[in-house]
Amino acid sequence: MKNNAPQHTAVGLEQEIALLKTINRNVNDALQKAIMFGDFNLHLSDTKESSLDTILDIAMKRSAQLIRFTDGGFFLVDETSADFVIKSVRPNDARNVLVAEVEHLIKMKLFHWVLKRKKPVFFKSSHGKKQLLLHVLATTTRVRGMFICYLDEEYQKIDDHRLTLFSLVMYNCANAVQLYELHKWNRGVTQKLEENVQSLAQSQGELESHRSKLEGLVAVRTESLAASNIKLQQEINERRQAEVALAEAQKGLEQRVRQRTRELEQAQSQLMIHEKLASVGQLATGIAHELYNPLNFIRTNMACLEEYLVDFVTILRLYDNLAENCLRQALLPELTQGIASQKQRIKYDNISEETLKIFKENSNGFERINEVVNILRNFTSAGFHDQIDHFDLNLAIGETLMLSRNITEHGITIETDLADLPPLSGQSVLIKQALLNVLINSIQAINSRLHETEGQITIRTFADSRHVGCVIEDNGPGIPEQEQIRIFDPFFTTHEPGSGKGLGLSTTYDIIVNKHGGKISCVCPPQGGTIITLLLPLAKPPQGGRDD
Amino acid sequence: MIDFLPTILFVDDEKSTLNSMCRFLRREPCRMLFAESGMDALAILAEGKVDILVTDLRMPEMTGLELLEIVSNRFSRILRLVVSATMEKRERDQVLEKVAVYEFISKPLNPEEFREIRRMAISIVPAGE
Repeated sequence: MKNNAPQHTAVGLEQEIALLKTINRNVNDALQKAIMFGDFNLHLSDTKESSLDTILDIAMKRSAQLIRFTDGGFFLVDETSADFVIKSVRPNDARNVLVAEVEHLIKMKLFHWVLKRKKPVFFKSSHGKKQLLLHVLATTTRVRGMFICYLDEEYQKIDDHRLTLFSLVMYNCANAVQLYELHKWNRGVTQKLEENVQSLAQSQGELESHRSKLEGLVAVRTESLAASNIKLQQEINERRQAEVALAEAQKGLEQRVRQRTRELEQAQSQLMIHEKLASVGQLATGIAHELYNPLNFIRTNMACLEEYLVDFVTILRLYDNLAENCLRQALLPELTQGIASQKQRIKYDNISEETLKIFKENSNGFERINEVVNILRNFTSAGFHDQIDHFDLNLAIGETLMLSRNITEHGITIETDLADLPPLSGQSVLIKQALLNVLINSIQAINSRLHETEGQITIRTFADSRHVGCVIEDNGPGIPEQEQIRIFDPFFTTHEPGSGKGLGLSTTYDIIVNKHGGKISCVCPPQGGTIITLLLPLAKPPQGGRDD
Repeated sequence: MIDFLPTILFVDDEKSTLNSMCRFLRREPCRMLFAESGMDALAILAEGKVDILVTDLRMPEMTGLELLEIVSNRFSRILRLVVSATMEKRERDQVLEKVAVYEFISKPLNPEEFREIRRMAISIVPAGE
């Protein structure tokens, strides 16, 4: 046994190897077949209607390679109606027969049963003469259809591996159909999507063009708006500038009108003053001339009378001697007694004395009348000829005081403190007017306050190497500080025009500063009162400095 | 010498002025003549006996200046004095522009001043023509 065994074993091994080799070959063949039958060689990208037919055609051919059948066909589930529709039939005239068989199966309530079996199912045909082979076309998830055919061989002779391969073909066919359907559906969807996308793209394009059109329009509008905006802004700016300029011009104009009005008022009041003075001057000159003649002969006569009187007195002394001699010698007693009593009655002793006094007083009176008439004439008439003369400021002050005596009210004392002054060159008449204005101002200032103390005006003159000056001080209320700088302002007035409140200090300023190159200042000490100082240069004034 | 007395002609439209002057010069060693207008004065002057002319300036018809001009042309040797109430420099200059005048005397007369001038005037009149 033991010897046989290895021999026997070797033979067995050889047989077993051969068997295994056969099996291996068979398995390889089967696998190759399976691979071959399973391959439907589908190109999913090519999913035309014909491709379904191709699938079914392939399935039909592969099935025919496995199983011998005469009539065969596919019933596929219509995706929209869910009915079974016959599709691929071989040969073509088998259609009706196969439909009838299916209807029979449905009628026999076997069709449904077949669908649930995922294996080949054999039936006798409806007329019983043939053998039917049915196989569902199902994927793992759904039923796609059914294969049906009349067998051309005994179903008992079909071995299992043929049936397995057949099932594989069916399964793959179902998958291919499903794939096809899915792809078809997918394609439809894609197409729709593409259409939608296209239409969207189109509408987007339209929108785009519309938008670009609109944008263009908007751009154009914006541009024109911007342009008109700029223009508008420019116009606004120009208008604003014009308005500003106008306002300024108006302001300037108003100011100029105001200034001009003031100047005109000033000029008018100056003119009125001048006219007044001129007419007063004419009148005064006329009066002066008329006064001069009678004054002249009265004065001359008085002088003669004085001389006569001296002569009379000389004679009288002689008579007196005569009378005394007669009295001593008792001659003509009646006559001498008469003379004596008459002398006593008329207070003869101081007659001659008194008479001389009369002449002296009269002479003094004549001097004063003369002075007044002179001032009247000089003050008013001579001033309008821009006459430059040499004058003494002290005399000018004296004449001014003489003239202002009537406007100096009671309760105002004017004191003078006049130094020896060198003569000045200028328009004395105007200087007198300037002095008068200052004086009137001071008098008004004193009168404007309550009569607490006696009004007092002090006039002092002085001279240095270059100037002759005059200080006029009053004890009036003074001038508020903010007005002090302005009182000489040519256009400044605290009085209403034409209110008759004096001539104003602007005239004084004009005369002293402008016409004579002098200086004028105003100081108001804290205890009250106003000090006005006039300074006149000793050199010839720059204006009207023609030679005498 | 004593026989010689200078003759003064006074011209003024105011009679009282002439009278007062006459009185004032009553005792001066001179002869006095009076005229109330320029025309009257010229008539007197024509007689050729006047040495000194004292005239007013403002007079109706012929003014003092006009009279002075005629006198300075026709009787240049006559000493000329002016008595006027309008003794402005301007008026004085106007006169002096046209005629030479010995002295201006302003009205109203200052007797002392007038006396002085009167004396001076008489003394310078050349004695014996």
